[in-house]
Amino acid sequence: MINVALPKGRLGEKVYQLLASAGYPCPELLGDSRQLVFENAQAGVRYFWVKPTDVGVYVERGAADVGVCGRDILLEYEPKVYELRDLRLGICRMCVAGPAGFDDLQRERILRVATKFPHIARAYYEQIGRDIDIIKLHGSIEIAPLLGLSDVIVDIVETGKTLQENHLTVLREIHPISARFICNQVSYQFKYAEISRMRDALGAGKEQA
Amino acid sequence: MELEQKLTGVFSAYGYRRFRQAKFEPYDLYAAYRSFLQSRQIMTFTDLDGSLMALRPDITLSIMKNNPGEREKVYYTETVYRPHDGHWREIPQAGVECIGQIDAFQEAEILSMAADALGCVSPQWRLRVSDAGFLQQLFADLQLNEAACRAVTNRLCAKDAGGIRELARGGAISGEAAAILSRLAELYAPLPEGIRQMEQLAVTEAQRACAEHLAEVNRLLRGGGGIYLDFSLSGGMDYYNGLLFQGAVAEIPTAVLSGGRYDRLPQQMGKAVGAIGFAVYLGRVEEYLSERQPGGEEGLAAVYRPEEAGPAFLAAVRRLRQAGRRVITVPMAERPAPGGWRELSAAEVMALAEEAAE
Repeated sequence: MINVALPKGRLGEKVYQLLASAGYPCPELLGDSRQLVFENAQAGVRYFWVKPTDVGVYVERGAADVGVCGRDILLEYEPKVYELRDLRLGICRMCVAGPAGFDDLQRERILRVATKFPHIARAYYEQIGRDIDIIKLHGSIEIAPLLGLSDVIVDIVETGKTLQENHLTVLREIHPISARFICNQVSYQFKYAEISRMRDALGAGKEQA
Repeated sequence: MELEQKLTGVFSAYGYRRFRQAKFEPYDLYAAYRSFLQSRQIMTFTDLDGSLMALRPDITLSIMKNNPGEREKVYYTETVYRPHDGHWREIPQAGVECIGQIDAFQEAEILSMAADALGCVSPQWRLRVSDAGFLQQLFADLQLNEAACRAVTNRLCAKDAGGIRELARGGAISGEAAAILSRLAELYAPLPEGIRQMEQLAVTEAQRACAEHLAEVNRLLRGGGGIYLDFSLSGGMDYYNGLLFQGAVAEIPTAVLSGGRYDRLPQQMGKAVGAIGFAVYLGRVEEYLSERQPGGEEGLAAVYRPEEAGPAFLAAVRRLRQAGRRVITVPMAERPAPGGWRELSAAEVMALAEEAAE
């Protein structure tokens, strides 16, 4: 039996469709039930719906053997898990954004950075040797420069439309982001054959060589 | 503690003697060898003479400091003090250090002792082995710069073969390097098969020598089951210089044993010896596995009313304990008994004690 943590929302539903067509169906999963755990004993799989930011924790601590998680979450929280496959879903970019023409590298003063991803932002600016003041926010990051709360933001950019609407532009790309098939390091050892089969079923044609 | 006893039994059977020492050391010891510590944060206090002391974050440094530069095989069951989630934690560990001329035989013996130690924790165990020397040689032969080494190690630890190919697309490493390293990331196989794959990847003389050395260790172990080759074990390469390994059991989602060859520490201390050792994380095992009770017999909760609490009841309980039963006494007012104990009335206890006496 493989325990799979799926992120609630569109990405999780897409991944479930991939798994279902790869031989791991559990049709009740997409019903209206408020249930969070679904099992198909015959297919040897049990699914959980969890908050996307929690998938890494469930997998690292072994409550789930495998899961699907955005690379942004892996970079921010650094759970000790294996990243077995890039699913090429939920593709976006982790970027520094700010008013057009703003130079975030000019060193006259400490740069104020608003973000939901303080660890990623700190690691990036440390690497290029720029002192920053992190302003941790939980949402509506784009209004921070607009209201003078920060100079720039570090956030996920998909189409760039929200940035545009808030008179911001991408200043720098930090990381490409996509959904990853992740695995608990001990489950990998004890359920190697089943997990490899699931990884290969998910990956068929997904990853460029 | 049953596990601790079993482990020390294994360590003694291999001829290791117990190492005991105070829980603190002069702070300077840890300041001088900071790169050998898992965490740079150390719990310090001032001694009565004003000198700065530290609660031990690690046992190996203390053992090596006391080693006279000669062969020594020691084991310990001690507590170390490390930060965790912004607070200090007491972490119990049991482990061994083998100091001296370390040949393939000593390495094979350490691996077989690690397997025996894992067997004390659970019958379902796995021991993964990697070779820091091989990885260091490979990185040097592939001419990876420091940043590339860090990025590749990070992706190897995550078994992210796609991420390694991504590094090549971004120009951080060559396509040729990516082809080798991504195969290395995916390698997970029983030791004999793993070594065959490693031999295919080894292209230089020095890399082949590493593979041959590991093959010799494997020959000595006779391809012992439960041991796998896995290069995702590539963290801690500043510390380890050869064989490194990690053990897990099916019931616990993180590693419960880790160790390896660390010749650089004695070298830096000016001692002409090699060293290899491992530690079992007793705290982690305790967190997940409830203690198996000696004899495997169910514990009894002897529940008594105030009027039953006489010498006959006390004697009956004692008789049961002498007969090897575990018995906890619980006043009626404090029922129910703790989980996992079968409740018996005082009358039932007396009857059972009489049976036991017969």
